[in-house]
Amino acid sequence: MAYSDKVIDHYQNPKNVGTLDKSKQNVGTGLVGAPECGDVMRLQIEVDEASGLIMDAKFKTFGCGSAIASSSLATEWLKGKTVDQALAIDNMDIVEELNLPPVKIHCSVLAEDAIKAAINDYRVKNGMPELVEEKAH
Amino acid sequence: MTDYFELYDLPLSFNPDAALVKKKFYELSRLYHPDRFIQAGNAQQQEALRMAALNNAAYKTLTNSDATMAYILKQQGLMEEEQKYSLPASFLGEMMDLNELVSEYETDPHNSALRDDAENSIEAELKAWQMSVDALLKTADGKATEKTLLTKVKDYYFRRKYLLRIKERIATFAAPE
Repeated sequence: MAYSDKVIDHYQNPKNVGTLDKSKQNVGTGLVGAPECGDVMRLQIEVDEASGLIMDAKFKTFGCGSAIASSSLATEWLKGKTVDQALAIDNMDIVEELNLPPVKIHCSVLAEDAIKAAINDYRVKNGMPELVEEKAH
Repeated sequence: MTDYFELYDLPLSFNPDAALVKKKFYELSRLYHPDRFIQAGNAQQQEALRMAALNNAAYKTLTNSDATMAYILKQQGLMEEEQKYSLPASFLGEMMDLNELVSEYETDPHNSALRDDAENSIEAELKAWQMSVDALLKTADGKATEKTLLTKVKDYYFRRKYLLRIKERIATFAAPE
């Protein structure tokens, strides 16, 4: 199966690989896995409390090229967004941008789940109720 | 589709009796052997072929404990494709750490201490997995359709996927001794 150039670029030069201090109040950590293939993905956001904007995002993914590219792209998109805007990121946006083939759509779903998990962690840490997933993939 | 356990006339079990499985496989192989249907009509030949294929599939599944586990979970409706399954964050965290350990070794493949650490960690996890599953399955037989138990089995089934994935990673770049 051929990967798109964008996937290969994110895979070879992943953006924002790393770790944020998860003990910090303004850092949300999402840890998700794809049981079918054994992929694990950690995605973190750091929110600027004054502006409410996501000022940094980092990820670490152990998985296939598409999973790495999806999470790399997600961290790029997250930076500069408000938490609410971040919530609106849909896995199909990732599919479109990376031109993922149908068999790799679950990688984009994983990235979306990681974003939502990171936001929920941030919300719970800051006294907001956890959001319940409204759409079934 | 005919159930493999029904086909072999065996009770539903995660550990089907290996000798009985083999016996039944040979028995059905003879019964549906194409040579016996040379004189038969087309419909009968097709049916024999279908049964022979089913027999092969059943044997292949029931002689592999992993495949048997997946088969039972699927038959009992626990493996619907759209059904998402998430393991506890603590487990995913452990898998993250193990993967990081393997990455460390990957950047320094001739460091035998790192290799031993990575290999021993994953072997220990797999051994612990096997022990928990054996203990669980011992209580499972005879009631292999009970929902709460099946859910636990499913949990183990997926945990193993992560472990095997890490083991595979080590194998792909492990430097020869």
